[in-house]
Amino acid sequence: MKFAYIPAALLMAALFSSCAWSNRANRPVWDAFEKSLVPENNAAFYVTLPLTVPTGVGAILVDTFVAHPIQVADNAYDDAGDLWQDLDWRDEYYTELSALVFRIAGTPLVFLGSFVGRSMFDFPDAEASAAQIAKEDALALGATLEWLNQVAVGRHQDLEGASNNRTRRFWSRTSAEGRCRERWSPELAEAWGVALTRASALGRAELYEAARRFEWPPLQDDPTLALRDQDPVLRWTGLRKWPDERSLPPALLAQLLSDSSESVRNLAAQIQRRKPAK
Amino acid sequence: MAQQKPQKPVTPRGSLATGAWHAASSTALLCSLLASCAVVERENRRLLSALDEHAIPASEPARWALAPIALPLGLAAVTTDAVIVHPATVLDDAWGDTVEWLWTSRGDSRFRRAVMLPLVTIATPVVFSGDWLGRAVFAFPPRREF
Repeated sequence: MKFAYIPAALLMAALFSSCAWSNRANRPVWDAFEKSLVPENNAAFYVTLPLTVPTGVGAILVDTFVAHPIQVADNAYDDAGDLWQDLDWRDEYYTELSALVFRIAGTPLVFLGSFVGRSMFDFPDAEASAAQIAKEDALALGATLEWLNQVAVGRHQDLEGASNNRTRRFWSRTSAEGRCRERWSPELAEAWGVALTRASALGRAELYEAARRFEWPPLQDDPTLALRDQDPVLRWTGLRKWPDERSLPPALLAQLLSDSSESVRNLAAQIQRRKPAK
Repeated sequence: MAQQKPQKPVTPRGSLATGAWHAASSTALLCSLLASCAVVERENRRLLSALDEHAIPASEPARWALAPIALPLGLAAVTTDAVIVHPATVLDDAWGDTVEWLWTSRGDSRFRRAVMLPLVTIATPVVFSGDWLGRAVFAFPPRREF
């Protein structure tokens, strides 16, 4: 049984190079001690070694078990808090509710795991994390641009299926922060325009759905875009998803009441009866 | 009368460390499995997505009021998706994988195919079951036919 400790010891040795202590920023007590109390003068340095060495070891222990864990407690809290970010109650009400149980159970686990992990190992700090987030945001924007280009050439697939969770999370976070307009670059605007012109009806359906879900500027600027689509199914879908609390412009309502499609006319009449147009 | 082997005493400290190690490793394994399980992907949660598509209350007060009913309903929907709906939807993909891997000729001679036939026949239910279970549990991309 005693030989079972050998693999554990080897693992510890291999991980030592990435342990928290290897980063200077993670040993404040040791740094302060070395700067203020270890003499520069050669003679004094060697004479005080019997005192500075054990004190230095004590400084390492304080850094490892007290100072650095305190440093990373807020990062661990933020990591656990990430579980509660980007909750989309408007469009994924049941999904978010069913995930609540797992989030509640997972929050202390994530905090503890992050706290222990960050205390033991050298995880990137806030600056490095921000750089990583910026890099992932750029990838998400690139994936969105690529998706718009694909929709324009007839490869219609919903944004989530075409990309991955990262792109969906990026736009959910961006719309929650109210920064969609800021992120909507001229390249995205141009790609949107081309996609809307060239896409099939199915492709345009995906465009409207993504723009509605993530509050993209084209639909924010013109909420009736889908209602004036050439395809009656898309007009009907746009009417179906029209918010109850918003009135239809009278001219557009009149146009929809005399639409060529019976289902559009019926739905427009239903909306007119429900809420009089202002 | 058979003599019982003397039991080796287990120290409390050893059992505590072993227990903590088992708990930590089980939790890490469970978390990594959950992160890649099939219902993490939206397209694999058909019932839950249908509820999100058609049954969300329009206003926030209504969403708060409905929560005591919606929470168990959502949990039931995702459980049904995970245990029944999604596994049923990947049966065809699992069969497609099995046919592609075992029964699709890649330029093999007739004689080779004849010799391999018993092995391929035996392997078919094994490969199909394993592929189906894997697709049912984890978020593998579906087979796409163009």
